Amino acid sequence: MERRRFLQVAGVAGIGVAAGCAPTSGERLLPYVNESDDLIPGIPEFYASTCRECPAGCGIQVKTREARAIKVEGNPAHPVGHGRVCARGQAALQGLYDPDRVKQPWRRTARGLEPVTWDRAIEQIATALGAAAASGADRVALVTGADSGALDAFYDEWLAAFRSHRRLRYEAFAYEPLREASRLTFGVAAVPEFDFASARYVLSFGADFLETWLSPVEYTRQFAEAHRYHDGRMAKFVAVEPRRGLTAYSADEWIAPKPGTEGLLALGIASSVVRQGKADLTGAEADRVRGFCARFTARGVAETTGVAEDVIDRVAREFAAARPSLAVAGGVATQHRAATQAAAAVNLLNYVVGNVGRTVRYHAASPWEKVSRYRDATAWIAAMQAGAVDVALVHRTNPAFTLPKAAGFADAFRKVHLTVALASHLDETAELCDLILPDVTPLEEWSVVEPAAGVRSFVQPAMTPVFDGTRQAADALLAIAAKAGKTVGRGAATARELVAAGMVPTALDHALQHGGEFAAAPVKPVRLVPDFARVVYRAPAFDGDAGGEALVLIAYPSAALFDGRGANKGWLQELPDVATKIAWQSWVEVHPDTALRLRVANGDLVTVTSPHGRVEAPVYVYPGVRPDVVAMPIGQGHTAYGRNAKHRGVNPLDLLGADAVDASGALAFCSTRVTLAKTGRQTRLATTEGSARQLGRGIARAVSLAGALKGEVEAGPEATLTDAERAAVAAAAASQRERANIGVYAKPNPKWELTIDLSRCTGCQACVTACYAENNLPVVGEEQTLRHRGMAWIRLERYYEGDTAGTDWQVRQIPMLCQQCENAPCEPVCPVYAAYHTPDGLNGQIYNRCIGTRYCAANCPYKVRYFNWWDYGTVGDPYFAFVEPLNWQLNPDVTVRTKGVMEKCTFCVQRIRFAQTDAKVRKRELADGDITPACAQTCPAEAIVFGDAHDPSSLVSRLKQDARGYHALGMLNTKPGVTYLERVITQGEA
Amino acid sequence: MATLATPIPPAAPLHAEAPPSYADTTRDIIATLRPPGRKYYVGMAFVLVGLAFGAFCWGYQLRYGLGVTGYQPPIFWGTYITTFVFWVGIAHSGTLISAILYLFRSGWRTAVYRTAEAMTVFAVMTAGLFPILHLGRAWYAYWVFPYPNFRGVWSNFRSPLVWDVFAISTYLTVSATFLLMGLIPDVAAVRDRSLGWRQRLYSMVSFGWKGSDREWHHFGRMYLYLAGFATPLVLSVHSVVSWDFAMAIVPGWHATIFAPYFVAGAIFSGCGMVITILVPLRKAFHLERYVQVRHFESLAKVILLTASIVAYAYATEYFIAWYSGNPFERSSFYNRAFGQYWWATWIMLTCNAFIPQLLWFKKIRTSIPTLFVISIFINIGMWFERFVIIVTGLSHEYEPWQWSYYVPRWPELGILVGSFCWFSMWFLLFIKFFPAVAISEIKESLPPPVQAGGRR
Amino acid sequence: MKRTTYLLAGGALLCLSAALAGVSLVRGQGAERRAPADTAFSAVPRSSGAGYSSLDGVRPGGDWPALPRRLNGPAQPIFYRHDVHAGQYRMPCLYCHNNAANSWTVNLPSESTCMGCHIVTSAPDTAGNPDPEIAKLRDYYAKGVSIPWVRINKIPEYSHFPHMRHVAAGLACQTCHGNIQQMPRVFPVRDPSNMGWCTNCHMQRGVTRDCTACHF
Repeated sequence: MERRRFLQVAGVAGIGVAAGCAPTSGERLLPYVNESDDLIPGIPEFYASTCRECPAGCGIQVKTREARAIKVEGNPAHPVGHGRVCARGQAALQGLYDPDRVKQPWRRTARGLEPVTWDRAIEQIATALGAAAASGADRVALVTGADSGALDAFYDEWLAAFRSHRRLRYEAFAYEPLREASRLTFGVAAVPEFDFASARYVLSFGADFLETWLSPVEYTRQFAEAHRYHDGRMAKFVAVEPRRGLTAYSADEWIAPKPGTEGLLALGIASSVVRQGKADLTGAEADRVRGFCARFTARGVAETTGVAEDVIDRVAREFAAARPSLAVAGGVATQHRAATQAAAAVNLLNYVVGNVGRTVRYHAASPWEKVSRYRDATAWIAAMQAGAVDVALVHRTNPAFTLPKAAGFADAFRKVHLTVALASHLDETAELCDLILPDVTPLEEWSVVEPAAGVRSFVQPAMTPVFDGTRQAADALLAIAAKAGKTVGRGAATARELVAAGMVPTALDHALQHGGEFAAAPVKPVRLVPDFARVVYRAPAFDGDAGGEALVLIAYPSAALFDGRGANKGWLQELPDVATKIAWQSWVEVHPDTALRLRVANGDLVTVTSPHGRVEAPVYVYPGVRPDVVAMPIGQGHTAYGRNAKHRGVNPLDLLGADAVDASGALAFCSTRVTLAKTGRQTRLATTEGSARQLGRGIARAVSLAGALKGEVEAGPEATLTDAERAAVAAAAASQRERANIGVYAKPNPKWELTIDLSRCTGCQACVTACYAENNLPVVGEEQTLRHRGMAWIRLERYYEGDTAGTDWQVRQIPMLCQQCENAPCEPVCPVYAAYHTPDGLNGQIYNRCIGTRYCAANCPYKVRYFNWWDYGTVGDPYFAFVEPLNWQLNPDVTVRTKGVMEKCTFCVQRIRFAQTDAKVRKRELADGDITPACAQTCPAEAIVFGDAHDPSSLVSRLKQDARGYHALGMLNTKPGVTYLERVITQGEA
Repeated sequence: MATLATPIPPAAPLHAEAPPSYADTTRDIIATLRPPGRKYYVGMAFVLVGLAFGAFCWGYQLRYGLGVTGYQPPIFWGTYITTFVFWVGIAHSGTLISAILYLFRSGWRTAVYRTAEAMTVFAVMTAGLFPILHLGRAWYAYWVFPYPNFRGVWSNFRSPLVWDVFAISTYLTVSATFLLMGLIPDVAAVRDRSLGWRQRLYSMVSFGWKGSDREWHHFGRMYLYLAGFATPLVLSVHSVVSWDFAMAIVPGWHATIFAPYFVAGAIFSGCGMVITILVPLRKAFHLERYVQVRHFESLAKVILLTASIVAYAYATEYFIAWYSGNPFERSSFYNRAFGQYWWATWIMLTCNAFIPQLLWFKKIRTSIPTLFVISIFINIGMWFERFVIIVTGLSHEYEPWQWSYYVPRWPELGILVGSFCWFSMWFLLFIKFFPAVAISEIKESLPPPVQAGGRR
Repeated sequence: MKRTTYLLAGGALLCLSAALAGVSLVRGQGAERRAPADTAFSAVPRSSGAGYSSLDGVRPGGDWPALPRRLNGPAQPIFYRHDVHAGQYRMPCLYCHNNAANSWTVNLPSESTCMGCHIVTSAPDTAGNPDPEIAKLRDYYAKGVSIPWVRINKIPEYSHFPHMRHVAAGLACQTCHGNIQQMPRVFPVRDPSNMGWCTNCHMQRGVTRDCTACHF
């Protein structure tokens, strides 16, 4: 309690700094009443916790200043994420400081929502619960998201106290097929742990494991580890899916089978492996498998899947040859009516080459086994419809949005006598509820989760709740139980005590300091069940007639908005989709040929009609989908939830049928055909894309593995220079460097540089959001995004290479940020020295000196300077971007820029200066790795490395020497401080 | 009679019809200073309204930020810089005609140089506004001046923008001095015919001019020196302005041809503007006897010459873009001609390269209305020349991902209109306060009065 | 936060630097603005013993300095006298503003810090009533309310000033904050946002003049 008290006072004391408000004569300064030793104004405090933005549960450290959370960073000691965080994790802060949060309890009456006190609300619920419990068993329902650990157990106990077991752990993406397939093939109803790091060949059937699938951050780290090019080796990655997204962008080869046939293709590959005698099986098992596989002839599979025989055989050969390899099934491949069969087929494929137990590992416990299936949700809806539920409490999940409209959730939910939302936001579900109890966000709560076998990961508040009226759900439930006269939680009075239950204080402190208790879980050996053959592949059915213009709809989770829970966070809305580069909008991805046939172009509004519903969205012509498929992102189309989400875009789930269920009881997101009809109306796409082709300018480069082994690299335009020209350029550079020997430049300064390994970078854009958080970047909104006025200091450029007609084209992605040129074009042209060269090799940008001639930006060949067109930083201005309490998140170490000022990346110069000052005061030398810019810190692929290039031993100077190293637009003699390492692509035979 | 230190030999039959006498000249020209009529006030009112609108637009922009403009990264420069260069260009013919042609002793300048000079001064006054209008934080514009300050921060002399500051201010000072200097004898003449505050004003501006030989002698010398001093500016100022672009590495900007190319363009546009102004002026004040067709023809010839130079420069640009083999230059210029900004480019080429070629025909050269129309085309074309260079250059740069498209929005256009009104306002004031045609020099070009036969 | 904390940190910097190295004061900037009394200061408060043990109604160290006819600076919720604490009692400034040595920004002392002494000492008058200002302090503390001090110094948010670094460099705090120990009520001696002040000092001492040292 003491600490909370300090934080409260500190919170007040911090306002002056955090809000960066102008000095006023009347300004007051509030000291702490009691000061705490661990809280020094101006020095950040880190709280180890767990990210709850998705079920993956990565370890995080929340950076606080003056007792305010200002940044989320990864927890290096944590086995999930290993110190890396994705864009959604970074944006947790915007959930915390969202001005649209529920700040006090509300009650729904005929006149709409009315404020109500906590006590009254609790009383009402307690009475209702009492009545419900009295009238029979299972008349109370408690719905949460995927939950685990102490609180999860408590929820069950709490429910039991009211004679009910109607507990739902509802997730939109619950991976039922994986669990069911594992049961059918290995007798273990669990989601296995995948080891991408040691795989030498990754074969993904639709799994978007770099975006949302299971544990994207950890998988990105592992995948980058395996797929990066080092000492002549790299894993090959083949993506099998009808739509090419972020994950498949990293693929060396893209195979696009007919939607729904992924399972058959997996079986075909497995059969091919067996036929080629590469199967890692013995005895009766081998015979059984051989017999089973005999059913799948290469020709038959090729005809059904639309993938050529030789491709199937080659992939099989490579897959079997590279031990250990890894095949995963997910995403669209496990979202049609044959999902379970597909997952089972992939299990078989892994088993055949002996990956199970090596790269596919089962444990005694799996975080997913308790998570409810879609079928459970529909059963619950049926129960409510039948009036079998009197009280329903929904906590931190939004079924009203993520369930297909056809499932009839809303109607059934209204039939419940008392519906209660324990919600931090007024989302679609909360809108339906009779009572809304303001919940805290994960950064303000106590909890403990088990994101992976053997991992107990703690969640602790990084600060006192932003809004006094809010209460953690568990606390509320405890109060309700107490009011109803039930004793639950074994005498625990608060969520904190629930979490700490049964732990000695020292153990708890240790866990809270390190983020949790991490133990290696023993691998559970599994064998193929004898009667695996009962899992027979059936071609999945699709709603709607197959004829004519009908196209199969793929509704995929948006990498930024996930299942829609990110939709009210400005940072995530403004994060361009990796494939289409569109922000703030919904769209339909249509293949160029299909677009030609339908006579639609980018921005044409079309009505997408399925047997179950229709939506209207603009077309984006995209070569990354099969011609017989259209794709739409899930996450937009909210009718509530907040200013950024409400009435924005459309929700493709409205097009799905409620009964689209596969054998595992999962919702089949890819289960319906749609037709596109032009409305004749147009809309502008808020895309950041300029030209999708780099026209041989060598900005994002890649080399084939074969070439890389021979030491070849892809040459850029500078290769066309003659020797004489090269000599001239070198001479010019030398003459320009003379300036570096006068005045402050003459001293032995460090030279800060960056290397970005494109063979690691997956284009996930975590760096972009991290930069927003660290550098107080304003969210500019849709209208300004349409006008290319986004302020992201680092952006992901996405270029197509090769003929996009077929599937044999590559994607080149490159993070483009200020290159901190040694011969910077921006510097000499600034009339007032606002842009200048710092002694330690940065292109300094002095905001308070800038007068806004914009000459620097005009002269910057990389176009990485961003201008404050509006007054984003001034309270009260119509364009003020940090509406209270979002401004609490502002980093006090970074100036909030005003209108008319140019701004740009400076390698997080504030972090450099703070580290230098710290070292100076402690009288020690800076070591390599002491300073990490926000982008490098969060990069899940560890592609970005920062350091002192004058120190030959630093990692960055060593990486610079790599043969793959190049400078973007190097022929301009700008001498960039950012060195890119060419991507390496395994082409053809691996 | 009073004579210049280096009298200009009167060209053979100067005037087709009966030449006006000295008295006529003085009377006719001073007549232009009579109290203005309704038309004048209507015009002035129109101009002031336009100016007010421009001012409003700027205030709006100051309040909300440059977001109100159409700027769309990477096009960070647009209408303002375009218009800035346009006005600087306009400013050039003045000095050319008054100074250089003076040194070259070309007689036809006498009728037009006063107008041209005034135009120069006002055009520079207009151009000078735009670098400030264009700033993100205009209230800190003074930071570009190297003034001593306690903070010890200085302006960056490596920046072409700072060069501009000096170039423009120098040019304004010199051309203004030159104008006022040349006005002295005429103002004195006016002074002798005016009363009240006007007389006081004119006495001040004419510095008590008496018209003695000594004064004429000094006047002539001084005029010569100033002409000599102003001449290099004609070349230097616009060269400096062109370096705003040539010193940058933007494809389509970074070219050695820019200085001469811009100077030629400046004179071209300047002469165009002189015609645009002179034609209505001549009509309004019935100066046909003094500003004659042959004067216009001479101007037309200058235009023809410079137009050809400009056209040649265009050709060179494209040739070099192709010949250099530089992929960025090639792409940039291809985009100019056939990309999203093709319309701007072709307006430019038509107005600047093709239409002026009509002036090869004497018929057209000597037809005032046609000349007037052509001069309008030239003004439009030269504005678009700068637009094409600046906007298409920036829209299609090194980084393909950052290619974009820009069209001005109403505040920019409002300020553009305002700038023309601002210019016109000064000009309208000028013609009512000072003789728009140089009395003394006209007289020099007239045959001296014949004593025998008495006064006409 | 900044302005007042700089101000209050002033005394702290002085005492610390005097204690660390008297000579460091004699160098450069500090020298001419050093009042004679300053050298008598020490990080170890000589008279602190008296200060702490005064339960006898006698004001330790004799009567407080007489107040000037008019006071500079804004009126504060509590009339806290630096001339008494930092001046007469020679309390080390870091005793209250301890973060000056380990942070960029400097803290105001928490009320608990004040109460550390004033739980005992109340400078009572002859009648034994506690000094009214100290009574106010005790009242704030009892209520658990922060004292709403009026801000004196503030550096604009576009510049960042590492106090810790300047303390480590042994810089006298009066260099920037003036003779706090002689101020009954603290007032700003100069506009801390005037960059010329910083650059001059940095030039004289030959330390960095890089803009991004402060501006980011």
